[in-house]
Amino acid sequence: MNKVSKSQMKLDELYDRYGEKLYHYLTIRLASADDAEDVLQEVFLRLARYSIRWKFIRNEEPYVFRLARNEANRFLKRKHQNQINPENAPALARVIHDSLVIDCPDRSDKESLSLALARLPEEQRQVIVLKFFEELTLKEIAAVCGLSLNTVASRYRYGLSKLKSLLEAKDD
Amino acid sequence: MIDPEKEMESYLSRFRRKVPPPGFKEQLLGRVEERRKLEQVITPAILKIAVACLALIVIFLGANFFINRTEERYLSAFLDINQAIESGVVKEALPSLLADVPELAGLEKSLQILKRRSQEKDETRKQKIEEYLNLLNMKEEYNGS
Repeated sequence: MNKVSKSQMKLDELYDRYGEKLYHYLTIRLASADDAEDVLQEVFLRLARYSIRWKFIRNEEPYVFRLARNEANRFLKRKHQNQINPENAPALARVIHDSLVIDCPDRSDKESLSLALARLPEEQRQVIVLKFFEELTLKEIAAVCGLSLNTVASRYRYGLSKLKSLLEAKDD
Repeated sequence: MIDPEKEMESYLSRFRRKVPPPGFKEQLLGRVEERRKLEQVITPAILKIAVACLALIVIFLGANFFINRTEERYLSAFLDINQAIESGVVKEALPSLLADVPELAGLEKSLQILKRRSQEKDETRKQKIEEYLNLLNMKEEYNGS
């Protein structure tokens, strides 16, 4: 088996393990499915370039997510937009709405959650998205964001309580 | 009373991420592979050419070094007296030279004396070192260490 097919196999494996999660994370982070696709492509290109480093990486998942996060930040910087503009919350809410599936067929629930998530501060939204939809532990999220576990835990708690209050305000 | 955090966690657990459209993976990895191929500066063909060129350079430098060395030896034999001595020409010609020029015999003798003296000095130095080492051993035996 030659080197190229080996690296292709590795990329295939990596996609099966993290591809969908990364795509979803990037879609919400960049508020655009098209941009997420472009950035995901960059991420996999980087993974292919760094194939030699793979044997030295202990925790694959945080590494891959950190790579995606950095790539997303670079993309936003190129667009001169480090954060998602709060005024674009409805557009982000639409993107979140389209990227989620709900187990029970209550559409209003999904809409209100999408809107509430879009209104959360960026750093809290990131933690909640990574925890619930990409199924990372708080420790892994800390490694992805380059933060301490305490900071991530407090962002998670504040995020949940803010989300709750936003959802309740919507109900009222 | 329900813990608000747990309540939110169970609420959020009802949602899942949507799966990307079919063919998304193949499309994405295909584009990545295409870009990788474009990025590769050293293609296998270029690598083969580079290796062949490198081998040619090594062969040329080796041959050049060998030719130069042989040439230098021949030229030195013509121009340099030291090279002539090393090559054994002088040794062969010395008896006939001594017969022709008797004054050189004295010079050769003094050279031989000097050589012998230096050998004697070396031997004396060696003996002294051996004596010192013997003494050291005796001392160690006496001390029982």
